[in-house]
Amino acid sequence: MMSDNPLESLLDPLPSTTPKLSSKKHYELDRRRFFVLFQFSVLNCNQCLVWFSFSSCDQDIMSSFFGPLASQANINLLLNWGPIIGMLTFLLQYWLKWHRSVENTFDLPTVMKLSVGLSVTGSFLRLLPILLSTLYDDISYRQTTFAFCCYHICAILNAASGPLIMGSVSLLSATWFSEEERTTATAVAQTSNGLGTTIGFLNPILFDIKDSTIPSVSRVSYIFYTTAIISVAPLLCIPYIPSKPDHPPSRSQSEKANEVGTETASLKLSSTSFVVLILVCAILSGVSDGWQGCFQSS
Amino acid sequence: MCNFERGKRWLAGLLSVILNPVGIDNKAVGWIGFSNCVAGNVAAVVSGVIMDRVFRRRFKAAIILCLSCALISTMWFTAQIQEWVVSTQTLLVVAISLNGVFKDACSPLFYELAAELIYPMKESMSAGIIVFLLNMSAGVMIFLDSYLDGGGMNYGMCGVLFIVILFVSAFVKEAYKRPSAFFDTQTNNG
Repeated sequence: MMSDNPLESLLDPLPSTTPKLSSKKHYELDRRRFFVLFQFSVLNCNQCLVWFSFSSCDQDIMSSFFGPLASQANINLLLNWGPIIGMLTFLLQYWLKWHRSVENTFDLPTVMKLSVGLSVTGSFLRLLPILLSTLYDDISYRQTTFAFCCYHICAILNAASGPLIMGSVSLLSATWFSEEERTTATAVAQTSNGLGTTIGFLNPILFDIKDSTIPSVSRVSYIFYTTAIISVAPLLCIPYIPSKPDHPPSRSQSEKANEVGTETASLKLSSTSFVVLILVCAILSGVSDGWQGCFQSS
Repeated sequence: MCNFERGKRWLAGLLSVILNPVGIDNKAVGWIGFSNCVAGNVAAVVSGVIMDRVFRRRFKAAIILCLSCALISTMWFTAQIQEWVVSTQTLLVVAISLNGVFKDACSPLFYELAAELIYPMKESMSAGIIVFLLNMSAGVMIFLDSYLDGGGMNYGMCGVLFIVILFVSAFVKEAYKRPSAFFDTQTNNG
Protein backbone atom coordinates (compact mmCIF):
# COMPACT_ATOMS: atom_id res chain seq x y z
CA MET A 1 0.00 0.00 0.00
CA MET A 2 1.41 3.35 0.96
CA SER A 3 4.44 2.31 2.92
CA ASP A 4 6.97 3.98 0.64
CA ASN A 5 10.15 5.02 2.39
CA PRO A 6 10.98 8.64 1.52
CA LEU A 7 14.69 8.02 2.14
CA GLU A 8 14.76 5.24 -0.37
CA SER A 9 14.98 7.61 -3.30
CA LEU A 10 17.97 9.39 -1.79
CA LEU A 11 19.86 6.16 -1.24
CA ASP A 12 19.08 4.65 -4.58
CA PRO A 13 22.20 4.52 -6.78
CA LEU A 14 20.35 4.35 -10.10
CA PRO A 15 20.47 7.37 -12.41
CA SER A 16 17.57 9.68 -11.78
CA THR A 17 16.15 9.22 -15.24
CA THR A 18 15.74 5.47 -14.80
CA PRO A 19 12.43 4.25 -13.45
CA LYS A 20 13.10 2.43 -10.18
CA LEU A 21 10.98 -0.63 -10.70
CA SER A 22 12.28 -2.26 -7.54
CA SER A 23 10.91 0.57 -5.43
CA LYS A 24 7.55 0.65 -7.13
CA LYS A 25 4.86 0.75 -4.52
CA HIS A 26 1.26 -0.03 -5.12
CA TYR A 27 -1.03 2.60 -3.81
CA GLU A 28 -4.58 1.60 -3.25
CA LEU A 29 -6.76 3.07 -5.95
CA ASP A 30 -10.39 3.87 -5.39
CA ARG A 31 -12.73 2.47 -8.03
CA ARG A 32 -14.97 5.47 -7.56
CA ARG A 33 -12.35 7.64 -9.31
CA PHE A 34 -13.86 6.83 -12.69
CA PHE A 35 -17.28 7.85 -11.45
CA VAL A 36 -15.84 11.11 -10.06
CA LEU A 37 -14.09 11.82 -13.37
CA PHE A 38 -17.26 11.04 -15.32
CA GLN A 39 -19.37 13.32 -13.14
CA PHE A 40 -16.75 16.08 -13.42
CA SER A 41 -16.62 15.68 -17.19
CA VAL A 42 -20.42 15.92 -17.49
CA LEU A 43 -20.31 19.13 -15.43
CA ASN A 44 -17.47 20.54 -17.51
CA CYS A 45 -19.08 19.52 -20.80
CA ASN A 46 -22.40 21.10 -19.83
CA GLN A 47 -20.68 24.31 -18.73
CA CYS A 48 -19.55 24.79 -22.30
CA LEU A 49 -22.90 23.69 -23.76
CA VAL A 50 -24.68 26.32 -21.66
CA TRP A 51 -22.04 28.92 -22.48
CA PHE A 52 -22.54 28.94 -26.22
CA SER A 53 -26.19 27.84 -26.53
CA PHE A 54 -27.22 31.18 -28.00
CA SER A 55 -24.43 31.05 -30.59
CA SER A 56 -24.98 27.46 -31.66
CA CYS A 57 -27.59 28.44 -34.25
CA ASP A 58 -27.65 31.26 -36.79
CA GLN A 59 -28.56 34.68 -35.48
CA ASP A 60 -31.70 34.92 -37.64
CA ILE A 61 -33.01 31.69 -36.13
CA MET A 62 -32.29 32.97 -32.63
CA SER A 63 -33.99 36.30 -33.30
CA SER A 64 -37.03 34.45 -34.66
CA PHE A 65 -37.25 32.52 -31.40
CA PHE A 66 -36.14 35.17 -28.89
CA GLY A 67 -37.45 38.28 -30.65
CA PRO A 68 -35.72 41.54 -31.61
CA LEU A 69 -33.65 41.65 -28.40
CA ALA A 70 -31.64 38.70 -29.71
CA SER A 71 -29.40 40.99 -31.76
CA GLN A 72 -25.90 39.94 -32.76
CA ALA A 73 -24.46 42.35 -30.16
CA ASN A 74 -26.58 40.80 -27.40
CA ILE A 75 -25.68 37.27 -28.44
CA ASN A 76 -21.99 38.23 -28.54
CA LEU A 77 -22.27 39.71 -25.05
CA LEU A 78 -23.79 36.45 -23.77
CA LEU A 79 -20.74 34.72 -25.19
CA ASN A 80 -18.23 37.29 -23.96
CA TRP A 81 -19.38 36.99 -20.36
CA GLY A 82 -17.28 33.82 -20.45
CA PRO A 83 -13.81 35.39 -20.48
CA ILE A 84 -14.88 38.56 -18.60
CA ILE A 85 -16.44 36.81 -15.60
CA GLY A 86 -13.89 34.01 -15.89
CA MET A 87 -11.06 36.44 -15.14
CA LEU A 88 -12.94 38.12 -12.29
CA THR A 89 -13.82 34.82 -10.65
CA PHE A 90 -10.21 33.72 -10.49
CA LEU A 91 -9.14 37.09 -9.07
CA LEU A 92 -11.85 36.75 -6.41
CA GLN A 93 -10.69 33.22 -5.60
CA TYR A 94 -7.11 34.40 -5.34
CA TRP A 95 -8.05 37.37 -3.14
CA LEU A 96 -10.10 35.19 -0.81
CA LYS A 97 -7.29 32.69 -0.50
CA TRP A 98 -4.30 34.97 0.00
CA HIS A 99 -5.81 38.12 1.47
CA ARG A 100 -8.75 36.77 3.46
CA SER A 101 -7.22 33.41 4.36
CA VAL A 102 -10.29 31.48 3.23
CA GLU A 103 -8.49 28.16 3.19
CA ASN A 104 -10.87 26.06 1.11
CA THR A 105 -11.14 28.50 -1.83
CA PHE A 106 -9.27 26.14 -4.15
CA ASP A 107 -10.32 22.85 -2.54
CA LEU A 108 -11.92 20.27 -4.80
CA PRO A 109 -15.11 19.59 -2.76
CA THR A 110 -15.84 23.32 -2.32
CA VAL A 111 -15.19 24.10 -5.96
CA MET A 112 -17.29 21.16 -7.16
CA LYS A 113 -20.30 22.02 -4.98
CA LEU A 114 -20.11 25.67 -5.95
CA SER A 115 -19.82 24.86 -9.66
CA VAL A 116 -22.76 22.46 -9.55
CA GLY A 117 -24.84 25.06 -7.70
CA LEU A 118 -24.01 27.79 -10.22
CA SER A 119 -24.64 25.47 -13.14
CA VAL A 120 -28.06 24.27 -11.94
CA THR A 121 -29.21 27.75 -10.85
CA GLY A 122 -28.16 29.32 -14.14
CA SER A 123 -29.59 26.59 -16.37
CA PHE A 124 -33.02 26.67 -14.71
CA LEU A 125 -33.14 30.45 -14.44
CA ARG A 126 -32.78 30.88 -18.18
CA LEU A 127 -35.25 28.06 -18.78
CA LEU A 128 -37.95 29.88 -16.79
CA PRO A 129 -39.07 32.34 -19.53
CA ILE A 130 -38.97 29.57 -22.15
CA LEU A 131 -41.02 27.31 -19.88
CA LEU A 132 -43.60 30.05 -19.27
CA SER A 133 -43.88 30.61 -23.02
CA THR A 134 -44.54 26.92 -23.53
CA LEU A 135 -47.02 26.61 -20.64
CA TYR A 136 -49.08 29.65 -21.61
CA ASP A 137 -48.49 29.25 -25.33
CA ASP A 138 -47.33 32.85 -25.53
CA ILE A 139 -43.98 33.64 -27.14
CA SER A 140 -43.74 37.06 -25.49
CA TYR A 141 -42.59 35.56 -22.17
CA ARG A 142 -39.27 34.51 -23.66
CA GLN A 143 -38.78 37.76 -25.58
CA THR A 144 -39.17 40.34 -22.79
CA THR A 145 -36.42 42.41 -21.19
CA PHE A 146 -36.96 40.39 -18.00
CA ALA A 147 -36.34 37.20 -19.96
CA PHE A 148 -33.07 38.63 -21.29
CA CYS A 149 -32.07 39.59 -17.75
CA CYS A 150 -32.51 35.91 -16.87
CA TYR A 151 -30.39 34.86 -19.87
CA HIS A 152 -27.62 37.29 -18.93
CA ILE A 153 -27.65 36.31 -15.25
CA CYS A 154 -27.43 32.68 -16.31
CA ALA A 155 -24.50 33.48 -18.61
CA ILE A 156 -22.73 35.25 -15.72
CA LEU A 157 -23.35 32.41 -13.24
CA ASN A 158 -22.25 29.84 -15.80
CA ALA A 159 -19.17 31.90 -16.67
CA ALA A 160 -18.27 32.03 -12.97
CA SER A 161 -18.35 28.25 -12.79
CA GLY A 162 -15.98 27.97 -15.78
CA PRO A 163 -12.67 28.79 -14.07
CA LEU A 164 -13.73 26.87 -10.97
CA ILE A 165 -14.20 23.70 -13.02
CA MET A 166 -11.37 24.16 -15.51
CA GLY A 167 -9.03 25.28 -12.75
CA SER A 168 -9.58 21.96 -10.98
CA VAL A 169 -8.67 19.53 -13.74
CA SER A 170 -5.15 18.87 -12.44
CA LEU A 171 -6.29 18.82 -8.81
CA LEU A 172 -8.95 16.23 -9.59
CA SER A 173 -6.48 13.91 -11.29
CA ALA A 174 -3.91 14.36 -8.51
CA THR A 175 -6.49 13.72 -5.77
CA TRP A 176 -8.03 10.58 -7.25
CA PHE A 177 -5.63 9.03 -9.77
CA SER A 178 -2.29 7.28 -9.57
CA GLU A 179 0.87 8.73 -11.04
CA GLU A 180 0.48 6.45 -14.04
CA GLU A 181 -3.02 7.69 -14.79
CA ARG A 182 -2.69 11.35 -13.89
CA THR A 183 -2.03 12.88 -17.32
CA THR A 184 -4.78 10.80 -18.92
CA ALA A 185 -7.25 11.89 -16.23
CA THR A 186 -6.23 15.53 -16.67
CA ALA A 187 -6.63 15.17 -20.45
CA VAL A 188 -10.13 13.67 -20.10
CA ALA A 189 -11.21 16.28 -17.55
CA GLN A 190 -9.80 19.14 -19.59
CA THR A 191 -11.01 18.05 -23.00
CA SER A 192 -14.54 17.41 -21.74
CA ASN A 193 -14.97 21.18 -21.88
CA GLY A 194 -14.10 21.16 -25.57
CA LEU A 195 -16.35 18.13 -26.03
CA GLY A 196 -19.24 20.29 -24.86
CA THR A 197 -18.83 22.58 -27.82
CA THR A 198 -18.17 19.66 -30.13
CA ILE A 199 -21.53 18.14 -29.18
CA GLY A 200 -23.19 21.53 -29.29
CA PHE A 201 -21.85 21.98 -32.80
CA LEU A 202 -24.52 19.45 -33.77
CA ASN A 203 -27.41 21.32 -32.09
CA PRO A 204 -29.02 22.37 -35.40
CA ILE A 205 -28.66 18.81 -36.73
CA LEU A 206 -29.70 16.99 -33.55
CA PHE A 207 -32.81 19.11 -33.03
CA ASP A 208 -33.55 19.56 -36.72
CA ILE A 209 -33.36 23.35 -36.61
CA LYS A 210 -32.98 24.20 -40.27
CA ASP A 211 -34.39 27.66 -40.89
CA SER A 212 -36.46 30.49 -39.44
CA THR A 213 -39.83 28.81 -40.05
CA ILE A 214 -42.08 28.30 -37.01
CA PRO A 215 -41.92 24.49 -36.60
CA SER A 216 -38.15 24.56 -37.00
CA VAL A 217 -37.52 27.56 -34.73
CA SER A 218 -39.73 26.22 -31.94
CA ARG A 219 -37.27 23.38 -31.51
CA VAL A 220 -34.63 25.86 -30.28
CA SER A 221 -36.20 25.38 -26.83
CA TYR A 222 -34.95 21.77 -26.82
CA ILE A 223 -31.37 23.10 -26.52
CA PHE A 224 -32.30 24.83 -23.27
CA TYR A 225 -34.31 21.91 -21.86
CA THR A 226 -31.42 19.55 -22.60
CA THR A 227 -28.77 21.64 -20.83
CA ALA A 228 -31.04 22.09 -17.79
CA ILE A 229 -31.64 18.34 -17.54
CA ILE A 230 -27.92 17.57 -17.91
CA SER A 231 -27.07 20.09 -15.18
CA VAL A 232 -29.13 18.05 -12.69
CA ALA A 233 -27.03 14.91 -13.17
CA PRO A 234 -23.94 16.16 -11.26
CA LEU A 235 -26.24 17.56 -8.55
CA LEU A 236 -27.72 14.10 -7.95
CA CYS A 237 -24.23 12.61 -7.80
CA ILE A 238 -22.83 15.06 -5.23
CA PRO A 239 -24.11 13.18 -2.11
CA TYR A 240 -22.42 9.98 -3.32
CA ILE A 241 -19.02 11.51 -4.02
CA PRO A 242 -16.62 11.81 -1.11
CA SER A 243 -14.27 14.78 -0.97
CA LYS A 244 -11.27 12.49 -1.40
CA PRO A 245 -10.49 8.79 -1.67
CA ASP A 246 -10.08 6.70 1.50
CA HIS A 247 -6.40 6.11 0.71
CA PRO A 248 -3.98 8.41 -1.11
CA PRO A 249 -3.56 7.17 -4.69
CA SER A 250 0.05 8.33 -5.08
CA ARG A 251 3.14 9.29 -3.17
CA SER A 252 2.58 12.99 -3.76
CA GLN A 253 -0.86 12.74 -2.18
CA SER A 254 0.29 10.68 0.80
CA GLU A 255 3.08 13.12 1.60
CA LYS A 256 0.94 16.14 0.94
CA ALA A 257 -1.23 15.22 3.89
CA ASN A 258 1.66 16.21 6.15
CA GLU A 259 2.42 19.45 4.43
CA VAL A 260 -0.19 21.66 6.01
CA GLY A 261 0.99 25.25 6.03
CA THR A 262 3.84 24.82 3.61
CA GLU A 263 1.95 26.30 0.69
CA THR A 264 2.32 29.91 1.67
CA ALA A 265 6.01 29.44 2.34
CA SER A 266 6.58 27.92 -1.04
CA LEU A 267 5.45 30.51 -3.51
CA LYS A 268 6.76 29.26 -6.78
CA LEU A 269 4.82 31.58 -9.00
CA SER A 270 7.91 33.58 -9.93
CA SER A 271 9.70 30.53 -11.33
CA THR A 272 10.91 31.46 -14.84
CA SER A 273 9.93 28.09 -16.27
CA PHE A 274 6.42 28.37 -14.87
CA VAL A 275 5.95 31.96 -16.05
CA VAL A 276 7.22 31.20 -19.57
CA LEU A 277 5.10 28.04 -19.77
CA ILE A 278 1.81 29.69 -18.82
CA LEU A 279 2.49 32.78 -20.97
CA VAL A 280 3.29 30.59 -23.96
CA CYS A 281 0.07 28.66 -23.39
CA ALA A 282 -2.01 31.86 -23.23
CA ILE A 283 -0.31 33.62 -26.17
CA LEU A 284 -0.64 30.54 -28.34
CA SER A 285 -4.31 30.28 -27.51
CA GLY A 286 -4.97 33.96 -28.13
CA VAL A 287 -3.13 34.12 -31.46
CA SER A 288 -4.74 30.87 -32.64
CA ASP A 289 -8.08 32.36 -31.77
CA GLY A 290 -7.32 35.50 -33.76
CA TRP A 291 -6.02 33.49 -36.68
CA GLN A 292 -9.11 31.30 -36.75
CA GLY A 293 -11.34 34.34 -36.35
CA CYS A 294 -10.01 35.61 -39.68
CA PHE A 295 -11.57 32.64 -41.46
CA GLN A 296 -14.96 33.26 -39.98
CA SER A 297 -15.52 36.10 -42.38
CA SER A 298 -14.21 34.22 -45.41
CA MET B 1 -11.55 26.64 -23.54
CA CYS B 2 -13.56 29.78 -24.06
CA ASN B 3 -11.99 30.25 -27.47
CA PHE B 4 -13.19 26.90 -28.56
CA GLU B 5 -16.63 27.82 -29.76
CA ARG B 6 -15.35 30.51 -32.07
CA GLY B 7 -13.03 27.85 -33.41
CA LYS B 8 -16.03 25.76 -34.36
CA ARG B 9 -17.71 28.64 -36.10
CA TRP B 10 -14.73 29.62 -38.18
CA LEU B 11 -14.19 25.98 -39.08
CA ALA B 12 -17.81 25.73 -40.20
CA GLY B 13 -17.39 28.94 -42.18
CA LEU B 14 -14.15 27.80 -43.77
CA LEU B 15 -15.45 24.33 -44.57
CA SER B 16 -18.61 25.66 -46.16
CA VAL B 17 -16.55 28.01 -48.34
CA ILE B 18 -14.31 25.11 -49.36
CA LEU B 19 -16.88 22.37 -49.68
CA ASN B 20 -20.12 23.96 -50.87
CA PRO B 21 -18.80 24.68 -54.38
CA VAL B 22 -17.99 20.99 -54.83
CA GLY B 23 -21.54 19.93 -54.04
CA ILE B 24 -21.30 19.12 -50.33
CA ASP B 25 -24.23 20.62 -48.45
CA ASN B 26 -24.18 22.39 -45.08
CA LYS B 27 -25.37 19.33 -43.18
CA ALA B 28 -22.38 17.35 -44.43
CA VAL B 29 -20.12 20.31 -43.68
CA GLY B 30 -21.50 20.25 -40.12
CA TRP B 31 -20.61 16.59 -39.75
CA ILE B 32 -17.13 17.12 -41.20
CA GLY B 33 -16.59 20.00 -38.76
CA PHE B 34 -17.86 17.80 -35.94
CA SER B 35 -15.45 15.03 -36.94
CA ASN B 36 -12.58 17.50 -36.87
CA CYS B 37 -13.49 18.61 -33.38
CA VAL B 38 -13.82 15.03 -32.18
CA ALA B 39 -10.36 14.37 -33.63
CA GLY B 40 -9.01 17.22 -31.47
CA ASN B 41 -10.71 15.85 -28.34
CA VAL B 42 -9.45 12.35 -29.04
CA ALA B 43 -5.94 13.69 -29.68
CA ALA B 44 -5.87 15.33 -26.24
CA VAL B 45 -6.85 12.10 -24.48
CA VAL B 46 -4.51 9.99 -26.61
CA SER B 47 -1.62 12.31 -25.77
CA GLY B 48 -2.46 11.87 -22.08
CA VAL B 49 -2.43 8.08 -22.41
CA ILE B 50 0.84 8.10 -24.37
CA MET B 51 2.48 10.36 -21.78
CA ASP B 52 1.36 8.09 -18.93
CA ARG B 53 2.36 4.85 -20.62
CA VAL B 54 5.43 5.68 -22.70
CA PHE B 55 6.88 9.14 -22.17
CA ARG B 56 6.46 9.81 -18.48
CA ARG B 57 8.32 12.94 -17.37
CA ARG B 58 8.98 13.98 -20.95
CA PHE B 59 6.49 16.81 -21.05
CA LYS B 60 8.86 19.38 -22.51
CA ALA B 61 9.88 17.14 -25.40
CA ALA B 62 6.25 16.23 -26.04
CA ILE B 63 5.14 19.87 -26.03
CA ILE B 64 7.92 20.84 -28.45
CA LEU B 65 7.09 17.89 -30.71
CA CYS B 66 3.37 18.71 -30.80
CA LEU B 67 4.00 22.41 -31.41
CA SER B 68 6.51 21.61 -34.17
CA CYS B 69 3.94 19.40 -35.90
CA ALA B 70 1.36 22.19 -35.50
CA LEU B 71 3.87 24.61 -37.06
CA ILE B 72 4.49 22.31 -40.03
CA SER B 73 0.72 21.92 -40.56
CA THR B 74 0.23 25.69 -40.41
CA MET B 75 3.09 26.28 -42.87
CA TRP B 76 1.58 23.68 -45.20
CA PHE B 77 -1.81 25.38 -44.93
CA THR B 78 -0.26 28.80 -45.62
CA ALA B 79 1.69 27.43 -48.60
CA GLN B 80 -1.55 26.03 -50.03
CA ILE B 81 -3.40 29.31 -49.56
CA GLN B 82 -0.52 31.14 -51.31
CA GLU B 83 -0.57 28.45 -54.03
CA TRP B 84 3.09 27.62 -53.53
CA VAL B 85 2.22 23.92 -53.35
CA VAL B 86 -0.55 21.71 -54.68
CA SER B 87 -3.78 22.75 -53.07
CA THR B 88 -7.08 20.88 -53.02
CA GLN B 89 -10.08 21.15 -50.75
CA THR B 90 -9.22 17.87 -49.07
CA LEU B 91 -5.62 18.90 -48.46
CA LEU B 92 -6.73 22.21 -46.92
CA VAL B 93 -9.08 20.40 -44.54
CA VAL B 94 -6.33 17.90 -43.69
CA ALA B 95 -3.79 20.67 -43.00
CA ILE B 96 -6.13 22.66 -40.79
CA SER B 97 -7.28 19.53 -38.94
CA LEU B 98 -3.72 18.45 -38.23
CA ASN B 99 -3.03 21.90 -36.79
CA GLY B 100 -6.00 21.49 -34.43
CA VAL B 101 -5.11 17.94 -33.49
CA PHE B 102 -1.54 18.81 -32.48
CA LYS B 103 -2.54 21.93 -30.59
CA ASP B 104 -5.25 20.05 -28.68
CA ALA B 105 -2.78 17.26 -27.91
CA CYS B 106 -0.58 19.85 -26.20
CA SER B 107 -3.20 21.25 -23.83
CA PRO B 108 -3.20 18.65 -21.02
CA LEU B 109 0.60 18.64 -21.06
CA PHE B 110 0.71 22.35 -20.21
CA TYR B 111 -1.57 21.75 -17.21
CA GLU B 112 0.44 18.81 -15.89
CA LEU B 113 3.88 20.38 -16.33
CA ALA B 114 2.66 23.60 -14.67
CA ALA B 115 1.40 21.55 -11.70
CA GLU B 116 4.82 19.92 -11.36
CA LEU B 117 6.67 23.22 -11.54
CA ILE B 118 4.89 24.93 -8.65
CA TYR B 119 4.46 21.99 -6.29
CA PRO B 120 3.78 22.01 -3.31
CA MET B 121 1.23 24.62 -4.22
CA LYS B 122 -2.10 23.06 -5.02
CA GLU B 123 -2.71 21.87 -8.57
CA SER B 124 -5.77 24.12 -8.69
CA MET B 125 -3.46 27.14 -8.44
CA SER B 126 -1.43 26.27 -11.54
CA ALA B 127 -4.49 25.30 -13.57
CA GLY B 128 -6.38 28.32 -12.23
CA ILE B 129 -3.67 30.69 -13.43
CA ILE B 130 -3.58 29.02 -16.86
CA VAL B 131 -7.36 29.34 -17.21
CA PHE B 132 -7.16 32.96 -16.04
CA LEU B 133 -4.60 33.75 -18.74
CA LEU B 134 -6.58 31.85 -21.38
CA ASN B 135 -9.61 33.95 -20.50
CA MET B 136 -7.47 37.07 -20.62
CA SER B 137 -6.15 36.22 -24.09
CA ALA B 138 -9.73 35.50 -25.24
CA GLY B 139 -10.76 38.88 -23.81
CA VAL B 140 -7.94 40.67 -25.65
CA MET B 141 -8.91 38.98 -28.91
CA ILE B 142 -12.48 40.26 -28.60
CA PHE B 143 -11.08 43.77 -29.00
CA LEU B 144 -8.42 42.94 -31.59
CA ASP B 145 -10.68 40.81 -33.76
CA SER B 146 -11.72 43.53 -36.18
CA TYR B 147 -8.11 44.66 -36.78
CA LEU B 148 -6.79 41.28 -37.88
CA ASP B 149 -6.18 40.43 -41.50
CA GLY B 150 -6.49 36.83 -42.73
CA GLY B 151 -3.50 36.76 -45.10
CA GLY B 152 -1.08 38.34 -42.63
CA MET B 153 -2.36 36.19 -39.80
CA ASN B 154 -1.24 33.01 -41.59
CA TYR B 155 2.34 34.25 -41.37
CA GLY B 156 1.68 35.60 -37.88
CA MET B 157 0.49 32.20 -36.69
CA CYS B 158 3.59 30.49 -38.14
CA GLY B 159 5.83 33.11 -36.53
CA VAL B 160 4.20 32.83 -33.13
CA LEU B 161 4.41 29.04 -33.19
CA PHE B 162 8.10 29.30 -34.09
CA ILE B 163 8.83 31.79 -31.30
CA VAL B 164 6.81 29.76 -28.80
CA ILE B 165 8.83 26.64 -29.64
CA LEU B 166 12.06 28.63 -29.16
CA PHE B 167 10.91 30.01 -25.82
CA VAL B 168 9.81 26.62 -24.49
CA SER B 169 13.12 25.11 -25.61
CA ALA B 170 15.24 27.87 -24.09
CA PHE B 171 13.44 28.97 -20.95
CA VAL B 172 11.30 26.11 -19.68
CA LYS B 173 13.38 23.86 -17.51
CA GLU B 174 11.55 20.71 -16.55
CA ALA B 175 11.35 20.12 -12.83
CA TYR B 176 9.20 17.30 -11.53
CA LYS B 177 8.65 18.36 -7.95
CA ARG B 178 5.71 16.17 -7.01
CA PRO B 179 7.01 13.19 -5.01
CA SER B 180 7.01 10.06 -7.11
CA ALA B 181 7.11 6.37 -6.32
CA PHE B 182 9.02 5.79 -9.54
CA PHE B 183 11.46 8.68 -9.86
CA ASP B 184 13.56 10.88 -7.64
CA THR B 185 11.90 14.13 -6.75
CA GLN B 186 13.28 17.24 -8.50
CA THR B 187 14.42 15.12 -11.42
CA ASN B 188 15.00 16.94 -14.67
CA ASN B 189 14.63 14.89 -17.76
CA GLY B 190 14.84 17.73 -20.23
